[in-house]
Amino acid sequence: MITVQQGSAQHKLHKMLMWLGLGVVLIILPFILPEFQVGRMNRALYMAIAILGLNLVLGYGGLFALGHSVFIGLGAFVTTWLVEDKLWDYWMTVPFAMGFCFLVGLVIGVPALRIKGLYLALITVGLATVFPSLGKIENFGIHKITGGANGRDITENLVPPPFIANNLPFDVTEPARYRYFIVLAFTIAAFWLVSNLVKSRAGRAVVAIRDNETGAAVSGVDITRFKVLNFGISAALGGLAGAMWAMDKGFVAEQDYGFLLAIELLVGLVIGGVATIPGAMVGALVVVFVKEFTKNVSIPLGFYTLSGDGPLSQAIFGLILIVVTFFAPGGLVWLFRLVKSKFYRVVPVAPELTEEVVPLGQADLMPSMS
Amino acid sequence: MSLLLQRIFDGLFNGAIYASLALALVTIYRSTGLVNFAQGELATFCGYIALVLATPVSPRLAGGGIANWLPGHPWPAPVAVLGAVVVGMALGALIERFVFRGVADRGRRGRSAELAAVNLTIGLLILISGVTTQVWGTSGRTFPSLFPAEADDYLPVGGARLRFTTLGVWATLLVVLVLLNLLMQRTKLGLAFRAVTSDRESAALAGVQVGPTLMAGWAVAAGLGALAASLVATVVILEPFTMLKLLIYALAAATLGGLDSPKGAILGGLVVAQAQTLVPGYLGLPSELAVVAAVAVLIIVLFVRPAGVFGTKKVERV
Repeated sequence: MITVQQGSAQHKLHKMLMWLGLGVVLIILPFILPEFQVGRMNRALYMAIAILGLNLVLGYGGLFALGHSVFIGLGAFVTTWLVEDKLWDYWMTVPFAMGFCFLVGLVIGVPALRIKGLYLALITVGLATVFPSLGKIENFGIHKITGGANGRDITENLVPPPFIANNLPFDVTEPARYRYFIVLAFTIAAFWLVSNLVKSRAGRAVVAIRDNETGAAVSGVDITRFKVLNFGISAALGGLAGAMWAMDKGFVAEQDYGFLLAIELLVGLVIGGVATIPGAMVGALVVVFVKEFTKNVSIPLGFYTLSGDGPLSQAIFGLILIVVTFFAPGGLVWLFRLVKSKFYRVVPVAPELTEEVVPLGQADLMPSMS
Repeated sequence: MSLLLQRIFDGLFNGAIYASLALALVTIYRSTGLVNFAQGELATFCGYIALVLATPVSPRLAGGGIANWLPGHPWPAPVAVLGAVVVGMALGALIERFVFRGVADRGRRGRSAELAAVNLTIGLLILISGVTTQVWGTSGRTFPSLFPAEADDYLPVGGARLRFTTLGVWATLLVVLVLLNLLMQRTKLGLAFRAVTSDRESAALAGVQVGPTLMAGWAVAAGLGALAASLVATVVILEPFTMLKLLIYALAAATLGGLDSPKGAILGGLVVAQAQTLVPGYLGLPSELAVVAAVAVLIIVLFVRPAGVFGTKKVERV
């Protein structure tokens, strides 16, 4: 059992060591993993961004918006369209994908003000299911952008510019490894921004609305503004994830952005930990790697062999979601914090008193009555 | 004119399907205060059970041939459907007892309990559809028809064909609706359902046995789902994801009518189905847009009337 004072030199050292360790692992990882595993890491990273966005609305905002797969899809299509048809650079498309999704998020956020609880869950699940059909529509040139049912390849490949490829002591020229660092940079930026956002005035307003809407309104929180903005920001994160997806995979197909992706996001959020920042990353890693893991499982059962490729991996996801909801309602991050609190304790600094405290018994509680 | 009539008749049949599934959703909402996303998958599973009971055993279909031990197997289609309804009711009751009760007991902390319940139903959805696909595969199967369904089994009305299956499905549905209304309005169990949904703790204090009531609610809803799946399966092909597509329409139907109103569910089913067949047919839109039309209708209605057309408006205490 280690006990440290919050904000003491020792506590700061521990924190620094933790961040340093995490940083070293994240940088070394792509060099020790084989290329195809790096590709999965990339997927986990951008899934983490999307789950973070979902977390803003569902975890911090308390709204049952389950259809964030829609924003990933929109972001991916916007990036594809700009890169393929308008011949933009990938870099330039990111703000546009995010901005577009932000606007769409605002538009969806307005009805979400009025439609509450389970009804909102119904509508958003509906949207997530409908989205792939929208991508297939042949009017208005939509299927030319999305590639229709066959999906669409992006011919523009993201490769390191020569001054990076030639001047580094190690090899980052393999596309997945190079892209890993780009996705990582965006992921870190997203996590940094969101963790600051939820601690900010706006973030606290959103949490206050979640916990007691009437109370928040009475305290002067502009409910409409914060709810809708929160929705927009969360959608923009989904768009960022979509842009990363298009850049990393170089292929978009509308059936990838359907109901099952929405479920993956939800499963990731719940497994990682609702309303926690690291939960989004943990959940994304679990979702991506458990799925890959179950693909290779095969259990002979006598009369037939259970192979994890296909329906079974889906069933396992369902089982995980149920078991985690049942036994670890706070997710893995909550479990980790529970275990950590047995070994490592941070004593918070008591706030400084500005005036003398009168013990309760002596205080004149109801002056008007006396 | 006959084309319009034919489209309306087609819509009538789809409407019956959506209405029956919506009815199951409404039942579970009224008896437990929960929207069950797994309703469709549970129903599909029961549909397969009915199929196993109604067909002579082939090892691939029955996964080992357990059904062969049943007396008089294969059963005639209506009996098999009844069997599936019973299995569905048992499954529903078991799911309530072993999956939902633990979370409901623990989660009295408001919001988290609701999220947990949504997570559990979504977990069940993918679990059950995964199991169904694993056992019966992805290829569709034909189902023995409950009603006369030969090519010439129809009633000619104004040049259009009103098929006997449509009539049969609607007759079944109306009987179910009447029974359900009797159950909800005239029996002690119905009263208990409403009491438990409106306030679990007060109901318990007033002597309602909350656990068994919830179990009964799940059983009735799952049984209805099984019936719905069997009705659907007589016409479309039974596939693992049949119901996921239908669930969206059913959700739209249930929400349109108001989540706590059985007659709203029926009406919602009709409206959604007519919108689905008529709108793309006459506006020349691609058929993919049909499902979009359903969701659009849903959003518009909820925006104007957040509790649906027939739903009871929720009064919140501050």
